[in-house]
Amino acid sequence: MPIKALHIFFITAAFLLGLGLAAWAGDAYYKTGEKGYLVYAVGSAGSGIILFGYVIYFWKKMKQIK
Amino acid sequence: MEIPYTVTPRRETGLYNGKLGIWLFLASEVMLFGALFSSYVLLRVGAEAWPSRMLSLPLGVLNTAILVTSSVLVVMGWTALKLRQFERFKLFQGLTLLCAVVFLGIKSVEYRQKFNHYEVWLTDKGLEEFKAAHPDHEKWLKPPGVIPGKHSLTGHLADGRSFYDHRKMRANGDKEVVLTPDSIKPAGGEHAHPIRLAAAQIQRLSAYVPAHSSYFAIYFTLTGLHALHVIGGILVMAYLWGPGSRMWKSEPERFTNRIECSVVYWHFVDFIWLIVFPLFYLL
Repeated sequence: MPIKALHIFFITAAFLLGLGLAAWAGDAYYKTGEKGYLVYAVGSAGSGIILFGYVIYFWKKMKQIK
Repeated sequence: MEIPYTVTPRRETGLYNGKLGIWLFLASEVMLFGALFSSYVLLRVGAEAWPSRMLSLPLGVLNTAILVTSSVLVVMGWTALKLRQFERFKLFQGLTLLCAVVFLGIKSVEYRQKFNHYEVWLTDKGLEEFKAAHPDHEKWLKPPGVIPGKHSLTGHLADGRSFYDHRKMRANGDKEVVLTPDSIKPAGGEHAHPIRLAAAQIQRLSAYVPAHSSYFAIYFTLTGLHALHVIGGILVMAYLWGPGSRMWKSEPERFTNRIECSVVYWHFVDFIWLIVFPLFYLL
């Protein structure tokens, strides 16, 4: 597996983990009302969006490299 | 004699030596970690009670963010080499190493916190005496998590010692322990005043060490093994960042291939953490 595919696979896994953490924290916030969980949910969702943007950037950047 | 296929791929495999080697090595690593993840599943499925929320979520999230960042940085370093930007490679590789060291630092803080944190299970008679002596016991008594049906107290020993347990207490002939208990209601509140527990009231006393429970046994095994892999990655990447980088001047293609192998390994180590984190910190 080339590095490009490996890295995209890894970042996709991290992206999914970010979404999972956001869902978990959102659920915990819904159940307990603790604002700390809301911070985790928003932060994780935000990091997921950043990772998604990064994968697209990486994909374009890799086209320059043989 | 020159070793063949250190730069160009071998026709039969389509891989150069180093890359074939690292993938074979990672195949054996998958079996090693796979066995431990299977052990986790079997322990958890077979347990009558499984502790939850035992670890620091902020530290776990921070460490996850650090490792994901390090994976991005290590690839940026390799990309810089491909673009013949050696100084940029040095910068990104250095930052990757910094991330790895910070990860280990945070992990050691977490470990240290566990070694100083205790759980005490009282005898039935001891529990009755404790409840009678402390009308506000609900603030401190933790619901059953390790021993089914057994409430417990958690906290720090007043003298701050680590690795103490009920066996040492009895062997030393200690008459009592002084515990500064965690507040359960409200959760995470300030420590209450220290309380004295007679040795006769204590059924079991353990720090959050592997002997505490199956949970901490598999936690320390998996995260400890992972930390060893991080240390291995640091050693290899530090060598390639420091003295090993001289190869760039004589054999740039071969050096880039070495970096590629370290990148593959580092992604594997980070991917393992992406599995470990939710298993212990969330579920």
